[in-house]
Amino acid sequence: MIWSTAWEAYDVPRLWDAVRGESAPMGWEQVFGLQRRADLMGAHADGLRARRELLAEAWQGPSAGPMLGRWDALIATADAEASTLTLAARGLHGIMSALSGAKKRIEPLQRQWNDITSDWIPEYWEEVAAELNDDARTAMLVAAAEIRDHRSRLGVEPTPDGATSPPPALPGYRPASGALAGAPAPVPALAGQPVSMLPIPPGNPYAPQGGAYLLPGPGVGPHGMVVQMAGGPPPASTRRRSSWEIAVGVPPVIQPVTNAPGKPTAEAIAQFDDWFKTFATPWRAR
Amino acid sequence: MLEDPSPVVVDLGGLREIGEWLRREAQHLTQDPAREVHFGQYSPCGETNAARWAVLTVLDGHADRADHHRRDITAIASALNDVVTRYEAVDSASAGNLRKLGR
Repeated sequence: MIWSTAWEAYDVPRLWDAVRGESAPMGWEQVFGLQRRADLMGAHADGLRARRELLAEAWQGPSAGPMLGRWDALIATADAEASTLTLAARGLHGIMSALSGAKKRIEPLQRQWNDITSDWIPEYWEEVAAELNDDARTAMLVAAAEIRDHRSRLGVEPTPDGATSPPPALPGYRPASGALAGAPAPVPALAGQPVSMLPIPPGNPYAPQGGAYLLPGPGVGPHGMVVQMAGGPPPASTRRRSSWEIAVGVPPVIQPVTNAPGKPTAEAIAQFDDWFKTFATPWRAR
Repeated sequence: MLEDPSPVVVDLGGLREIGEWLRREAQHLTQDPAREVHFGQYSPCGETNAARWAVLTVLDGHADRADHHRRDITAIASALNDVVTRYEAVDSASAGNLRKLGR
């Protein structure tokens, strides 16, 4: 059976992680390789057909009959294999195209996600994040439907192998319906799990050294909150520890700030990027 | 062309040529597509996962059938070679007998 993915368990960064490696050159090479293989088998079948007449002329007699029968079986096998490979090449092309389309649709959403706290006032952060999540989930739904169509044309009864390693679901959400082998596992809504969050780059008045806005949801609560980077990235040995690094004294309610900080240095931005990757997407380091 | 009292016609050169062609075909068909999938490695999507499995199954099936087909055409090439060898022997024996008759 195929598990049904609960896309609400994935936000834009997770979905971007799931598709950003798609449309790999090796994948397209495989598509064209399968088509070339189909052409080769087709040409082979044609060659067998052409030589069948030569064989029938060159050898006539009682014992030649069975040989012609085997020859006909060879032609049928080669024809069937050429058709199977053509279908496989087309199916794989369709699957690759569907995933490539999802990647193209989600890439700009990921860029917008990263810019939400810079481009919008805080009152809109959650709303814009929700819209981007909806768009990304729709892109995945569309891709999944296309993949289902193309996969069904391969003529193989599906049995998921569970060999993938997707990004973890959002804590507290069930990532797939049913408890099927290979389906993504739920992530408990406990402190330290990577919840959905927006980056707040250095220089933002709400987190001058940089920080993150934790979106409301399981593991966070009904209200979002700002988390300051506070002193730069944690030591490498503690990066995967399951505790939030929430600066003391940061108000959970966002207030207008009148004193905007100066432009951050390149070093501060690099330090922030490293911290945010570790904080928001720890699965990438695994 | 060799004819005998039974309705048998054998063009030994033609059969040799067909056998050689089969051997060359077996060589051409040797390289099967690698058993690899280059999509969906990080996808939580059930459909994508099923598609990965389906592609692997198709590749496995093709490799099995292609191997069988190669063995078949190699066996037929060998059988044709056998036929040619046996008829050559008959041909040679017949020529010898004719020479004896001519003496």
